[in-house]
Amino acid sequence: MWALSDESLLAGMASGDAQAAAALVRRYQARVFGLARAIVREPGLAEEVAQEAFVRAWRHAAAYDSRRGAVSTWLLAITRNLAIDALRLRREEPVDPQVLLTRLLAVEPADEAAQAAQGEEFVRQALRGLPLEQARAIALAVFYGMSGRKIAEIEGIPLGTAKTRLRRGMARLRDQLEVSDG
Amino acid sequence: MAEPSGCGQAREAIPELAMGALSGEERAAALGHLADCPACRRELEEATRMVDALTSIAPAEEPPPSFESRVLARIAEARRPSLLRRLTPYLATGVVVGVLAGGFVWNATEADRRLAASYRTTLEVADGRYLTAAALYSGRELAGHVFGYQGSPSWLVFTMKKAGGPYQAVLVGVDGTTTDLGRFTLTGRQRSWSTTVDQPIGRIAEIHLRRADAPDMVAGFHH
Repeated sequence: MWALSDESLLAGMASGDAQAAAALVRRYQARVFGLARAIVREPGLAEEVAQEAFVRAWRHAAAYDSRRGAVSTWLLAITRNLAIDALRLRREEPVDPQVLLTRLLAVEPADEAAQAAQGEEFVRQALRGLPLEQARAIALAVFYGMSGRKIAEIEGIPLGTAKTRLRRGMARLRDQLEVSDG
Repeated sequence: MAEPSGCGQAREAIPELAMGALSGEERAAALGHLADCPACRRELEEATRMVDALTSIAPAEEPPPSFESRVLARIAEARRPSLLRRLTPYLATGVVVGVLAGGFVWNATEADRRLAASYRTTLEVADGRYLTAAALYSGRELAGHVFGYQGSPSWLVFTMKKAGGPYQAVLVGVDGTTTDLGRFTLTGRQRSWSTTVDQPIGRIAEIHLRRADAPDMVAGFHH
């Protein structure tokens, strides 16, 4: 089963193959749950979000288009959106962008996933290379779904500055990642 | 075709658009421009790829041991026609396009096909968000459709078969509470009306259109 591609497992899952569904869940549950945890923090809510992400993936499997990106990318995008929605519904404590950033950047790639984690390490490296305020703005927008306006409020900066940090940070990341792609 | 204007403003908005962090009005303005501007659409695709790459760096963490079996149980429970399949007839006509592009009037014209491009981009950006539809009945007669989009903010769009009104739109929540969504009248060629809603789309039980001279038109949402 582990030799099957993500696409085959997703197709199997969509057609009602419980074994394929189980294999896909097993393959990605740590990444999906980990992402949900990074966003919503509370483990019970993170589990709810992660479960829902797999249910949505099953439900929308027919809409998955491999030309647009990997199954894992798609699954994580679903998870991210669900987690941000959950976060918006129960916004209680103020977030600390520094804690989030530390959590994102401190990871050492696990042995078993070393191959896959290499790409992620490039991204971490690129994020580490940004001016701290740009990295914080990007982390707040990507992981908490915060608009420029909200970031300006949290960081105590003018709206234009928040938008500039996002735009410059993204442009710089893109330059760095394109270099490492080549 | 005229050279699309407004690239500067759209470029400002693209990072937040890709991150799904843009408010309804700004999002609509940016999408309106993107529909006409392939260069900005490519920018958005690039930015979306960056967001995907950033999303992938969240540290992996094993969920509790019962996780897998709970997911499989939920899937087994949920075996019913998918949202996408229920939406397909509407998607094919391009009706939903109006909602996502800012809720303007829908006509079956070439503009639809152009907007379809922005619609696809929007879905890509907003992947995983809730998108649903319900038929609106006047008695037993189909009067139109209500489309719901779960986002930030969430939207409802009404597309009616005929002009008419005034209608007062009322939202009935799953907990029985009612919320006045506002009034509208459709005249001439105008067949649609849209509004943002504070409630999550998943908490809507019914939408009523009240009118002076007849019983409510009703759309039931089955989540």
